[in-house]
Amino acid sequence: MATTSKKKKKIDFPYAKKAFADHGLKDEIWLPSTQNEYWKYTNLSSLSRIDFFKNPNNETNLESCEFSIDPYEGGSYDIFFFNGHIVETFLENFSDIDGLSVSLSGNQGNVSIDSNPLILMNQKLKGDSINIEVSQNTILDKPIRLIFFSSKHRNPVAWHPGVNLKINRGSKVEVFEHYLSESNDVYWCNSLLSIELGQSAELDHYRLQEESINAWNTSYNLVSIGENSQYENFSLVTGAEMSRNEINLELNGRDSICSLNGSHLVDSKRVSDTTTQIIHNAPYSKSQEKYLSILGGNSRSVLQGKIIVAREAQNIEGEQLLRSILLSENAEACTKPELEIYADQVKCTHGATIGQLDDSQLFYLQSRGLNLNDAKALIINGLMNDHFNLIRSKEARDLMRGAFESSLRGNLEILGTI
Amino acid sequence: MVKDHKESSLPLLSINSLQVSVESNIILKDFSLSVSEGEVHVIMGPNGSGKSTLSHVLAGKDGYNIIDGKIDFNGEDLLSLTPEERACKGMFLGFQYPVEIPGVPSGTFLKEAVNSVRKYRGEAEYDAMQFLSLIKDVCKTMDISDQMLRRPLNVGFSGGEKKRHEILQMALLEPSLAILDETDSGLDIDALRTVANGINGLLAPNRSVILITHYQRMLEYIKPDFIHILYEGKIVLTGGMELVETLEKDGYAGLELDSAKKK
Ligand SMILES: Nc1ncnc2c1ncn2[C@@H]1O[C@H](COP(=O)(O)OP(=O)(O)OP(=O)(O)O)[C@@H](O)[C@H]1O
Ligand SMILES: [Mg+2]
Repeated sequence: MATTSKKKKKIDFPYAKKAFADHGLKDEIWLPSTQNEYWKYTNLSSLSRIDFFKNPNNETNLESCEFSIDPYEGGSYDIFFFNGHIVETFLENFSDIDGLSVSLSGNQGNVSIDSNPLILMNQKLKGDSINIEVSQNTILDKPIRLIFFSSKHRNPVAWHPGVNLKINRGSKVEVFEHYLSESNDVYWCNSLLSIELGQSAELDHYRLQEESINAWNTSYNLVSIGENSQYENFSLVTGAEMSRNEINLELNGRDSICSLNGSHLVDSKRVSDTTTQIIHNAPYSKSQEKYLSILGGNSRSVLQGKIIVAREAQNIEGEQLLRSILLSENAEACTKPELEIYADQVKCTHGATIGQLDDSQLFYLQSRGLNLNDAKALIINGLMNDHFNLIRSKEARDLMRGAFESSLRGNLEILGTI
Repeated sequence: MVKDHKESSLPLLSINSLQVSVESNIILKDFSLSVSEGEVHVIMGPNGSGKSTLSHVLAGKDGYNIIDGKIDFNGEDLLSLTPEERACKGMFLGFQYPVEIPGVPSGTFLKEAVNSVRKYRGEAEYDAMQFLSLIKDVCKTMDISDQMLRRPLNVGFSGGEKKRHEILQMALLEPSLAILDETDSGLDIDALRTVANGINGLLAPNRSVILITHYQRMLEYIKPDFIHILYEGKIVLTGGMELVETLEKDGYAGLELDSAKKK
């Protein structure tokens, strides 16, 4: 019996098996099934059936692609991943920036997490990977923008990019990950970000995923935060057929602070999953999490948040709120807040709410002449407006807000009334 | 006290034998009222008599069962229209309890409301600049600051600010029928005058107002044509200012509502 239930935890994944064989790798490779505790609500079996092609290196070039990216007000240091490949000409811009070193990396970093096959694939199949290091006491004048762009494809392709980010003591940086695509093709981006914040450092990390609605996006963020340092993360998902954004974060120094926030806007049968784990390893550390999902059609949002407080981590504070708003009867919000506390001086609150738009608010707006869709959109934009205020950087906030509003405007079916 | 009526004025709203229930409680029964163009009707009545229910039914709020009756608005069957159609066709409800909408700057909301109505009426929508100049003047007359337009709609507004903001909305939307549900409650003396000025500013030969109130003081500024007393879901008395004077003096007991109801 034990073996059959174990077997069911794995989904056969022919693409990965073949890719591993092509690389001469002997490792067993598979995808996690919904029998795994943290994959209960996110089903990868459709992904397992896609026959991804080998990543076509430079099948097309960037210049011939049609796309536009909203510029970062005040400029940004851009690093371009084109179909999973780093565009090396962009890297030349980084040679003279004081305190910043950017280089191609031969490996995906020394992340070792066993039993996670997505990470294993990322590490073994060796997609392009980049090392970014900010030296001590550097305040970067512009944000670093990581652009993950996918062009049109005849066949589904998969890539496994990696980013290693090291912010040394006393430095302050803003990083904006931007996922976008030329068309609504099927592809799979399986990324791994490893982030290390030294002492008294600050990182604002933003992630805007407004890519193809048929894309698969799995990303794993491994974050370690040192003493007296601050990490802020805000992630907005409006694209992808299935997206799983996983953050595994450790507060390793006294007085370290993290704030993880974000939002999903999904419709039809799409799935958006944010799974976080915050480990308080040090005393006087603080964590805050606020997620808000807006769901239409038959979509599903998964918000799983676990906070672990180690025994040494006395006098910590943790606050977590997972909210979902259903715009359709068939949409589904799966929320799972979890606390695991081993210390005894701890202030932790957590909660999850699932609701709908408020009828009296809708009526109020309708009584002023707004049709039901416009009334819904206004209320949602209002909720999000408050939510976006969690973003410290004004430029990032404006970009996120713009992306959200245009995604909502471009997709009125999500409101469920037309 | 009561103004003379032009024989020619057209009925704007006519409610015939309306019967409404909420969750199996009958709230309005055999309610009839006719409002012609240019008229000001005042509806008074004890707490719970059904005044707000009437205003909600007129504006099209869900959750009320219309058991019987007919409502005509400008010659159209009002009950077949959505709330936004009613608004676009000239009906305005000033809420007894204006609703808070977090995160939506009230200026953004006002522009969207005005443009929704203009769009429906086939008029060109205002751009940001045009709207700004329009709203500036209205804000001044309603004693509302620019800063307030940046605040989320009704969130943290004081009671009086909410009511002034309702009248601001009314002034911008220029309805043909305004139903004002206790817009005078909770206003200080100056705000009362501001609100009354706003209402008088709207009044025109082809615009009408239904004023729901508990107090005489508003009627010192706005001259009503009719005073109706609503009691247990039905208009039991209709008259002029003498009804209000009796009320102020002796309360509802002075009006002997139960015996009026039987007539
Ligand atoms: N949703 C509801 N469910 C049950 N009863 C309701 C509901 N809404 C209104 N009522 C009842 O209908 C009656 C009339 O209420 P309404 O709000 O219309 O009174 P009102 O005349 O406006 O009173 P007030 O002067 O206090 O504002 C009250 O008894 C109220 O409790
Ligand atoms: Mg009332």
